[in-house]
Amino acid sequence: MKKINIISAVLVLLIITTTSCRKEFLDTKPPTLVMEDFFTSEENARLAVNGCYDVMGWDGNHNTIPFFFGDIIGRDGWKGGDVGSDQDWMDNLINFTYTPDNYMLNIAWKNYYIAVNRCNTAIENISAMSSDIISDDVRKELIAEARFVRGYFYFELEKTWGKVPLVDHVLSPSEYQQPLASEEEIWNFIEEDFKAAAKDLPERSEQDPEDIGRATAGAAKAFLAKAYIFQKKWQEAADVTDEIINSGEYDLMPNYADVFKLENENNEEIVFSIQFKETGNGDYGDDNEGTMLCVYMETRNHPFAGIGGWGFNCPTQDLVDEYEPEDSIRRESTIIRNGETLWKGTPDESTFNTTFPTNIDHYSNQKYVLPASQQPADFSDASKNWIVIRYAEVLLWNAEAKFHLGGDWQTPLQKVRSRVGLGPTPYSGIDAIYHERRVELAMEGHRFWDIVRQGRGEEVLGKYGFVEGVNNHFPIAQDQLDLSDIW
Amino acid sequence: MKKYYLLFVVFFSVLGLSAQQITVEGTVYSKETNETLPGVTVLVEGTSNGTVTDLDGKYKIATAPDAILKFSYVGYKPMEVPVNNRTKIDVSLNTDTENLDEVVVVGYGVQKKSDVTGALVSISGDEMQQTHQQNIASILQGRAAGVTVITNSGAPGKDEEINIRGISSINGSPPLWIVDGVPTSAGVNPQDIESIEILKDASATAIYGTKGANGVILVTTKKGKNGQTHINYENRFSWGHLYKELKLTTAKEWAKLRSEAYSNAGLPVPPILEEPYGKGTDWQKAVTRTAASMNHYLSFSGGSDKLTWFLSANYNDQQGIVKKSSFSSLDLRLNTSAKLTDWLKVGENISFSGTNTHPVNEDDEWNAIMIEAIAIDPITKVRKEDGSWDGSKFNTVNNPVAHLDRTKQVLKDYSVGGDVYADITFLKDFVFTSRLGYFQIFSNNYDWMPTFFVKTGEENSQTSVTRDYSEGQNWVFTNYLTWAHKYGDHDIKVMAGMEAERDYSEWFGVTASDLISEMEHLIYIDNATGNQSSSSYGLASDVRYASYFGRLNYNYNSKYFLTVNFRRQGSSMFGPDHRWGSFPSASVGWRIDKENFMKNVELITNLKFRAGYGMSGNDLALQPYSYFATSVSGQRYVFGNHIIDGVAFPRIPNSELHWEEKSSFNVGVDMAMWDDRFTLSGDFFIDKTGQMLYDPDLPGHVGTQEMPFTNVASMKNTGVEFVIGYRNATKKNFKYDFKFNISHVKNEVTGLGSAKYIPAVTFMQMGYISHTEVGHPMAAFYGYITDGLFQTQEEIDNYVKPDGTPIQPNAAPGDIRYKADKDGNLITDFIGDPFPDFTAGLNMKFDYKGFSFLMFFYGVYGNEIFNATKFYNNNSSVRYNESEEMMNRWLLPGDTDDPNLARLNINDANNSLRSDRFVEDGSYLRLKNVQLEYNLPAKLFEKIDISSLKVFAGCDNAFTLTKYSGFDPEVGIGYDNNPLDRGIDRARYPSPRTIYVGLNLNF
Repeated sequence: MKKINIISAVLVLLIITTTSCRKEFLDTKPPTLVMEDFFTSEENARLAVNGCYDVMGWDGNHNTIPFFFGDIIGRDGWKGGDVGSDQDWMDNLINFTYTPDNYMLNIAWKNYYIAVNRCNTAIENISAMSSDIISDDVRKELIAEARFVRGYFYFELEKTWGKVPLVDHVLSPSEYQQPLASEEEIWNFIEEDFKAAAKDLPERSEQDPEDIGRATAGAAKAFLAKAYIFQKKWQEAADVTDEIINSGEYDLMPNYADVFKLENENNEEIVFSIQFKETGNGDYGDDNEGTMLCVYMETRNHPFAGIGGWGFNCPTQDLVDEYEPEDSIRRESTIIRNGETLWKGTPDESTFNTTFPTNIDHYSNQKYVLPASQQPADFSDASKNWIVIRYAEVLLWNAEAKFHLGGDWQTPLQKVRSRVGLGPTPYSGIDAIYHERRVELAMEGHRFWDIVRQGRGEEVLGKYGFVEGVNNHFPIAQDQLDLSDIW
Repeated sequence: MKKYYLLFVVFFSVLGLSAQQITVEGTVYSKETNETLPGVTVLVEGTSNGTVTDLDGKYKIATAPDAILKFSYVGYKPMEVPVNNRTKIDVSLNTDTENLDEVVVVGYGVQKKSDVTGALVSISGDEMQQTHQQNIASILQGRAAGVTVITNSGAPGKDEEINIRGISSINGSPPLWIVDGVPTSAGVNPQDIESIEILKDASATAIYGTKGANGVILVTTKKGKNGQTHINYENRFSWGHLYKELKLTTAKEWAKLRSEAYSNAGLPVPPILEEPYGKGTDWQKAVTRTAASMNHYLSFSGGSDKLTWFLSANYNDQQGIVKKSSFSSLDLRLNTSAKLTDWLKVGENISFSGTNTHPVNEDDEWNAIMIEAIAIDPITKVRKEDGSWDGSKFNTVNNPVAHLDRTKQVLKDYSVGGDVYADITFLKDFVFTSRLGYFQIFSNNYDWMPTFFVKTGEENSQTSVTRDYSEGQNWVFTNYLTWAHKYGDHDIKVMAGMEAERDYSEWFGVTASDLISEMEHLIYIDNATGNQSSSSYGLASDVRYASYFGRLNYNYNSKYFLTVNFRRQGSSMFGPDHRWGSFPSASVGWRIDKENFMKNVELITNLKFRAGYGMSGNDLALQPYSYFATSVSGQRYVFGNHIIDGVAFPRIPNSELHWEEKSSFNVGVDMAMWDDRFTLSGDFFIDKTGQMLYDPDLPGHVGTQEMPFTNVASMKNTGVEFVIGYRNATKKNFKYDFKFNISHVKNEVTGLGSAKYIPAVTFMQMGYISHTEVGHPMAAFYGYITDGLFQTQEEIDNYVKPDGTPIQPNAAPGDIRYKADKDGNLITDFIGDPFPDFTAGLNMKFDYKGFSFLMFFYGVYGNEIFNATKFYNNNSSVRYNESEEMMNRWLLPGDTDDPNLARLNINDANNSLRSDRFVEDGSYLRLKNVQLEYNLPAKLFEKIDISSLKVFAGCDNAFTLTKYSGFDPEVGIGYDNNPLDRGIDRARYPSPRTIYVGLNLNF
């Protein structure tokens, strides 16, 4: 019987050892911080705000949409690319035969709202942090940055779709169904975000060099101005652009072509640009901090980062003809002609053959071309910022607003023209401003949106299928319509 | 034999010889057929002294004159014969009509096969080894009703997909593997396997709780046997080749087609296409080869009353039929068990496995080697005349031979572990089993990219090297108590236990660039000079389970059976309030043949009816920690011209998540007739998966990046399975054994929560091909419906919407006409189903004297395949190489109406929509194995201590009857392992036809 007792004791021991830690045993901790534990330092709060900016640099987003929508649909550029079905989602957009099935409409929508969600998460959690762990100055600035980014994305949403859901906080499951807000509500929301951001952000001159790329007060005011311009709130637009001009924070670069050079990024003319930098680790697309913009717009088959350029967004003859004959500085800085040699006398010297089949007029885009020495190792990883607002545009908004108010619109307009050696505009009336915008800001992603907000959609694009009141905004993607019970 | 014993005396000094011996010899016969019986175990009772009868049924053994000899053989009743000083003893063994009494392994114990009430398949090691293959999954294909095995890739070392009774979840349903009681993903060498049991329904799998829903494969490895010392050596040499090439155009033909595509688009024909061309390059030939492989297996086993041991080693070296691909492995195993006292038995089963894989790219739509081989134009040469690589002047497809040349990846995987256990027998009927299983798994992968130049765009100027490392530590500690007692006719067995399990894994990797040199011996991170150009990653995961489980087996007079299983399990995958679940099951059996009214029916030797119902779970869909809002770093942006990190929370947490729940109902019947020569088994089942995890899209404006999983979906699988066996022997030493199985499973999605359907899988920007919708099988093909070709402009002009505008305004004569609805919108609908209606296997074995001839057929019927290779090879734009049949493309009205032969047009945007033109019948019948084996007469080598020598030769994948036009109709899950991506042929690595020879030597 003794033996049995020993065995029983062993049994009991074994069972106890396996059961004793049962409760904690299943509580495994995730190997990454969870949200509840995250907002516990200024540093982490800043990381969350950095994550908001991150979306601006995604390749599904800003690398294609600004030029695809702005320039190509606006008919300043031919689509280009390979023959056949290269980026064929563009084809029905260009011809205004699109349907809600267009997949890019869905991708853009989702990405913009991911950014909005990141901003809302940052704003809510940083607001709730105790003053012991975050100073009020830092808190204010970080929230201002997040509101700036949110305003930026709502601007994109508004101009693309018009009416969209207004999500101003992190939604709980019962709130997932949201109505479409009126355009007025969305514009008000955008204005409020930029006003708040302008109040708490530093000016460009006050910014630490390490912070270049972050939102500034000037940038927030410029976006506010843009929002006013889009709403035809001319007085407000004039006031806020005057404020930016008088602040002395910005100036035109003396040489127009220099604005777009890689070595001059974030120069005094840049109000806000999306920052890209070669990561160089072999990551592709969204996973690196470089941009695919350059490979998209590089002349097709012209050497680029070990592969040939893709040849999208090729300037049209119509755009080239828009330049005044004597406006050679801007024209020749914007386009590349067939057989043209760039960077003459440097090791980068290169001659362009722009005669690929999809390039109807045989011009290439020069503003985003990189010499070989500045090209990335990986084609998706170029260090070229995408300029969103530059000072010349602020001056042109100022002129446009003042024209409508009957003020002195010639002075700001002439400032832009004088830089490129041009005298008074030969155009009269509002055409002077429309012309100047088109050539000054050509191939920078503005054209289509300008035409639409100026009410000239049918006049300019009617022959391609644009119908006023129908094509001013794009349709909400079918996938999103399917997911909503209330639209 | 003695010299071999010496080798082991050092380790196992348990052998001894007694004095005063005589030698007994004789022959063992079957009483029923009067044939001699080879392989009968002859053992001197009470000793470890034993032998086995040779091929002629003869034995010879040294023994004490007063000893007792025990004869035993599977399927026969054991017999004991006293020696009584005789030197010649012939015996005749009676067949054991109760041979169903062999035991089978079930979860946490064994059960008599005749007592089984659930749906279970048992496959013996002998059956698995008869075709001398190296891959368990491939061996299982077609051998067990309801067990589907699909070879997704013919690359050496790639895993097959196994599903039991169809796919029970949209999240996939790989079965649980248990090796010697331990859940593990570590592979087992097939020759080490004693038996495999596959538990198919919940009445058997409920005991495995949240891991049981997909079926359980229980592997039992070989153990040494009392008194039988064996040394076994087997080798196998094989040669594989690509047995089917796609018929593609020659350079001359392709230039003609491409020119036509330009002309038809109104574009000038590039002069390069007007040069004279000949046959051009056969790229499929250029990337493949005859692949030589070999395998060597060596095992030693033996034992005494007290100690048994089994030791094996296997070395496998395989070439792939695509150049550069190869696989090699080394497996070692040591299983021992020791009976220390009357009441304590301890043992271990420990294995080591190391594999080395050189893969080639087969995992994308652009740069997979076989895609490149069928897509690149035939005009391009492998190399130019100066010896440098030639690159395509017509498209961006890589030169696949150059691509292979720069393929440098090596995957090294190791696993070591196993289990130690103790069985304690106490009181009268109690056994306590304690088992600690542990596996350590490592994977150390290595890749480097040299510089190369094929053409502009197909080049690399920066070297880089990548290392990835991962490690897993899995342990499971199991304790259970079994009590068995017989009260008269009441036979009761109760088992109860508990188990704790932890699966921990971690991984990290580094990429660095600009190697100091490209010499192979310098390809290490330390030699990378590009400090700026490096990246790294790393994370870990920790999943734990705690469980209590139990089982009751009861039978009355071996006539009425009842089995009840229960498991309560907690899993760290889920939030604290939804962590624990209960999984019960019950099943009953009735041996009708034992009833009095059946007594006189001698024809029927077994007739059993079974029925069962139970619940089991599946948590595979989830990543651990899904119930937390975890932060993800790396959300970087550029500030101050530096790349600065950022953080986001991409997921909405769901604390209410829990496992998927599967309920399964099974009825079955087992029957044996004519002294078990004929057997029949049939099952019918209904499996319902509820609470199925699905991550439906939330509205975009919610702003979540990863859609949260919710337990909303459901699915049903209904099916029948039949297994029929017939074996017989004629007086003239001729034996045959047929085994046929056939199964049918119908899959139907029965709920998706609020989602209307799940779209999945895009191919070449075609849009979603796979469509999972309520009322249909999961992952069905979805697309446009072709309606022939437009023959004339008039037909296009007349094909209009109600408002008179043309439905296909951009079409021209010769383009595909797609069906439209009454509003003139093109229709998209279901166009195919990747699941077969029937899957069947037929194994035929014929034995005559020493010869053994095997034929194994496998077939599926009624499934469709989305042949995506047609996107390249039946493409109007002639961007890629074309199928030879495109020489018969549409040219003039009336030529053809086949949508796969549409007119050519380099700017085509009409003919490559996802449509039913890509869908083909995927049925096939394959002679999977044919083999001839010869067991050389034992007499030949009696003097050299060899007890048997077999030689064999055969062919795997000998022929396939199918209408399918692609490489291989066996198309499974896609390379992302997305369960909704199946039956889409992307020209993955084709399976070879393999011819092999080998020998098996026994000492």
